[in-house]
Amino acid sequence: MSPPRDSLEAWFEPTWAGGWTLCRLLWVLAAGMAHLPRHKGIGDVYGSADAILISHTFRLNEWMLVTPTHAWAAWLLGSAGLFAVAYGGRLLPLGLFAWAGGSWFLIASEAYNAKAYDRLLTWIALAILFSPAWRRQLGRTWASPLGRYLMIVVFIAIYGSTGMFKLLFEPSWTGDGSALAYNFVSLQFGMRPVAVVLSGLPWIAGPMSWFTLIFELLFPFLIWLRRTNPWILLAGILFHLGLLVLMDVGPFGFVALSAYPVLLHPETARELWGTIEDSLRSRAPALSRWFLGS
Amino acid sequence: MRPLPPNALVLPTPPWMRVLGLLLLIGLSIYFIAAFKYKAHQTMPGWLVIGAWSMFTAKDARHVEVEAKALAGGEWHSLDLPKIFPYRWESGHRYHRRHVRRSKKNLGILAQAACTRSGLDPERIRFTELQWTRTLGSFVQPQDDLERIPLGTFRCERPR
Repeated sequence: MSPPRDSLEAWFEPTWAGGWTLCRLLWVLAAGMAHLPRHKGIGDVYGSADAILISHTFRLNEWMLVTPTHAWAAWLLGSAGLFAVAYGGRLLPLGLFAWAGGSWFLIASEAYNAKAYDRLLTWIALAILFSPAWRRQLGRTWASPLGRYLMIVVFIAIYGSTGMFKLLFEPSWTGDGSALAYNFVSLQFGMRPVAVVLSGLPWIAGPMSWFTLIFELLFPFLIWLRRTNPWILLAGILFHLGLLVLMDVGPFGFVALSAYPVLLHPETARELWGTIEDSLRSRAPALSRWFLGS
Repeated sequence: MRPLPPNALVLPTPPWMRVLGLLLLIGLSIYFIAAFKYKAHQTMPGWLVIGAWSMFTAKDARHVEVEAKALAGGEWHSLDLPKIFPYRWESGHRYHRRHVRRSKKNLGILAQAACTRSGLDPERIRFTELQWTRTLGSFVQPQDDLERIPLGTFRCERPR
């Protein structure tokens, strides 16, 4: 008898894997939004001949001279990787590595702009790598929850640490919301019409700050419980949609939301899927067969 | 839990993978905790950077812009930096990054690039950081409390 092993066995009990199909496809769209436009920077910041910087983190340019040809090759490699991930099946892991190689080669050659969405895409890719996402017909598959656990740890780190930084180091998040209001009028990230108006209304910016803080601090706990899991994810969807409307943070919101089908409790996701399954069978039988294998 | 459908495909986690998976989860958690700790103390080793998250947490009440001038023909000419260095992220241009604009070495490299790209055949490039207070609730951001911080003047070293 080995109790720890038994509990480990229970913890790794197979769960419904249908969410991974949607996660994979949403991840491809989000990664495409981050990676594909980089071709416009080739020659200027990627594979630049004259503006070659080396940062504390990225020292690629000390080792090699990245030319525009190298940058184009990396961009094509990353793009091909995205197509492979979209195709799925056995090509999926290869595609993830190709995307990571091409994308991070460009990021490292530029040296100073590894964005939050680049990092999050990579962490989600790691979770996908440990998931059953490469399989077809996941709608009828129950598989290891390891990939989902990895995803949860990553999102606990993101939301939990940003929430803790706000709570510990910036008092306005629990006060008048001025940190958020000043972000709304940032010349780079802000100046969206609704955000500019909201920045001048502390009675709205204050509660919005509180909502953000409470969501970020509660996420690490409520994500685990089946009863609270959909509600904290609903708060997350509102949070990211709000960000998309109010601030220019690139594809960050799309990247984060791509993981939500997997973060949703598998049984809740399965029930949700069950409610739309019948109508899908009648209206889109080909899609239903591809997803369900039935 | 609803019963599994008759055509369900069940793929259990192999015992060896459970242990390795648990170790992976623990390792990843320690990595993220370390990244949080170092980020909080602002002494981030490079290998922790991709695990540290603190987006938009600090209150920043000042706008920052960078302007550049080129000395050519005995006169200082304003340079259109977004035209010279066109690629832009949502965070702004490359020279907006704090670690770029506050590094003499990086600015020196960008200055040499500007010497060539400006097309003015300049003798020197001068960078200045402009900071002014953000105005809440306004689409117009007047340059109140404008502060001009000289970032450096760099001689164009290309063969002339």
